[in-house]
Amino acid sequence: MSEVRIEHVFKRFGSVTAVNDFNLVVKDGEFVSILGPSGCGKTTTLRMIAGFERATEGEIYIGEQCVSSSIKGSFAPPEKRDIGMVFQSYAVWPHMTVAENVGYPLKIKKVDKAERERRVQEMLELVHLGEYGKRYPNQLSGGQQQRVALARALVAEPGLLLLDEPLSNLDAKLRESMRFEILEIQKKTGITVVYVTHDQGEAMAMSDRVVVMSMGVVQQIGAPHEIYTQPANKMVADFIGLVNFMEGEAKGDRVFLKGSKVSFPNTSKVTGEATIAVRPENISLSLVGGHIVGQVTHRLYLGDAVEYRVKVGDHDVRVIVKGADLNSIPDGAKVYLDFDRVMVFEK
Amino acid sequence: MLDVTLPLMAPSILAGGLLVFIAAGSCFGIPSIVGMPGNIEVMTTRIVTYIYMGDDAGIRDSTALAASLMFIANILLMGMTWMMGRKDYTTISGKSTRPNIVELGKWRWPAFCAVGLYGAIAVIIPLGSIVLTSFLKSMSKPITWSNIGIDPWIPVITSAQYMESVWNSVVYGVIAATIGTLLSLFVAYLAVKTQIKGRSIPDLLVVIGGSTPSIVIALALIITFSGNYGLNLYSTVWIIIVSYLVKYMTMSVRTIAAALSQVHISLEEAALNSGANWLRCCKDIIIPLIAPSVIAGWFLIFMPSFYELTMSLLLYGSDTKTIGVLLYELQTYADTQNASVLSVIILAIVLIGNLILNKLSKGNVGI
Ligand SMILES: Nc1ncnc2c1ncn2[C@@H]1O[C@H](COP(=O)(O)OP(=O)(O)O)[C@@H](O)[C@H]1O
Ligand SMILES: [Mg+2]
Repeated sequence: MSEVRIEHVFKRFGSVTAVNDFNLVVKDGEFVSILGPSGCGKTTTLRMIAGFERATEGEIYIGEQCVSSSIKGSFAPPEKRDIGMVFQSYAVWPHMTVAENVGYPLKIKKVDKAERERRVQEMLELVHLGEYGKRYPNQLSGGQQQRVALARALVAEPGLLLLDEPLSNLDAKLRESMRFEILEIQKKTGITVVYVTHDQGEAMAMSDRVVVMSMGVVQQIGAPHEIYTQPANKMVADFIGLVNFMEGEAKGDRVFLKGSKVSFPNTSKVTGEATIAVRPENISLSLVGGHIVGQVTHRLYLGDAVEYRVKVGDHDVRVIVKGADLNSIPDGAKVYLDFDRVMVFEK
Repeated sequence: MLDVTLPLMAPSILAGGLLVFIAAGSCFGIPSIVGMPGNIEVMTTRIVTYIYMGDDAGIRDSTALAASLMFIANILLMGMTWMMGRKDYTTISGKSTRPNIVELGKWRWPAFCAVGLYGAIAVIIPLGSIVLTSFLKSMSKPITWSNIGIDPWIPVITSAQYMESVWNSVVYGVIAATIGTLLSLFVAYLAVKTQIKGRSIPDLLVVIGGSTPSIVIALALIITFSGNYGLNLYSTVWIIIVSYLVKYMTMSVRTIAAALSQVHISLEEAALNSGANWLRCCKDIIIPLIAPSVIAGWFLIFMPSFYELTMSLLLYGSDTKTIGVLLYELQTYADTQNASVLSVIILAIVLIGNLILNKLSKGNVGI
């Protein structure tokens, strides 16, 4: 299995800088997700690791092999890298059977037929397609095709598996169950995984660590709970989970809600004008008493919770209360809020 | 219908009309055979007459006429492309849509009769009469069972001279189709799959060649390859084959390019990722996926080359007479009997080719 090192990698398309100074070490056997909104450079990063794009600057190492270096001017083509890849569009070859698809990497490696058939069958069992070897891809569902692609990427036992939004073409139910299948396979094989997604839920649920990107720049790298509870900046806080932003002013170790005497501990180094951020589930709402006064403007029934929109001064604050009864607080009611785990960012 | 469907279809209808106009204006064979007895001349027949005069003045006059013909054809084509290009006409979409079937109601039978009548007058009666004529023992006697037999076929089939022309056409068609398909593959790959600067220039040249009237191509080749520019191909097979390539590569390039553009880039990348190099990827992935279109492209060059008349007529030499030229001669010598036998042979070969083409392209392409 392979460690991946990406050092000061840039990728420019003409005047567009798609990836800007990317640095990351993926440890042997680790599952790392690259997460960010569409167009932020995730695919470009993955394609540089796979060798389909050449980095404008920087070095990429897979295991001991330096696969791309702008200084040495060296570049290993995709077929010379020990990598399996799963594409967003499945990329299963329609003119080959499932078994031929999965067996192709072994055929290229000139593995003899009996051995090849044995390993293909083994892979197909692993992705729960043991009975489907003789079928053609157009006889399979999207989820099954994606599992064929997964089996094909793994069959040659590469040191590294790359996945580019592999679940985004599947329906919601299937996505959930495929998450577990991919994790289970990773556990069984111990392979190093770099997983690209724009779905924060997917990244949080599956990864050992998450790389959050925006506009080609890495915003934060950390374990899912770090990213969620200690986002490095406004962008990360906004992209991961729900968050309310409010204007504030930081003075010493306190931060004040703008235009009020309400203050919270300042956990950051920010002074002066600041942004106060608080997640909806960290706000408690009460009809009797609290620090902040507001008025309910809308209510949304979420099934297991109720989301309230509360007007506090100029701000529209989202509050999510688990297990609340929709009718216990009417629109227009005067309510009291308390903020917990307040985050402070530069304005 | 009047408010929505017709305005939507207007560009297509107009384009269709223009295409027919260009094709008709560039056509030589039909006006020359049908019109010559009545001394009706059109641009193309006049060009040929000038060329046959053989002297400098003849070549000069025919070049002038040819240039204006080409100018008109290309202006019209450009106008058409511009008109079609204003809207996004998607020809290849992943999803297949069911065409809207219109209920004709009480118009059903009149419509059926009109279409049937057109079919009968334009296609069935002429073709039928050719087939019939080819089996008539004697042209001067009435059509009775006793007058029908394979007798007229025997002299044609056993004639070394006739069969040589048929053979020539088959060979030239096969050579042109094979070279043309390989070139088309190259041109289409360049245009669709690479990022090289100027990658679509060869494609553009092919399109210009295809939209140039046959007679203009022939004339240009005569001027270029009769030794003035170092290369003398006049009266050889190659000048004929080059003319076929210039005229007929458009369709095969289009067909192959369409197939190539449907091979999603990730299919190739998955092969590279599996350890295959580029050549292996072509052999195992790209070629198998576009094979039907490549074969279809081959037939799209072979068939029109096989029965080509205009260019062959101007470019053939004593050893390189093609079936089209032979047919033209027989018709001008008023040898209707042998001409119809040959026509039936051509028809049969082209029909078979079309059947294969239709099967391969699932009904999307045909000549
Ligand atoms: N081949 C290319 N040529 C030009 N620009 C590109 C190319 N590939 C990607 N880009 C640009 O790079 C940026 C990042 O793209 P991409 O990596 O695909 O984003 P993501 O996968 O995060 O949605 C986008 O602005 C995109 O337009
Ligand atoms: Mg992407």
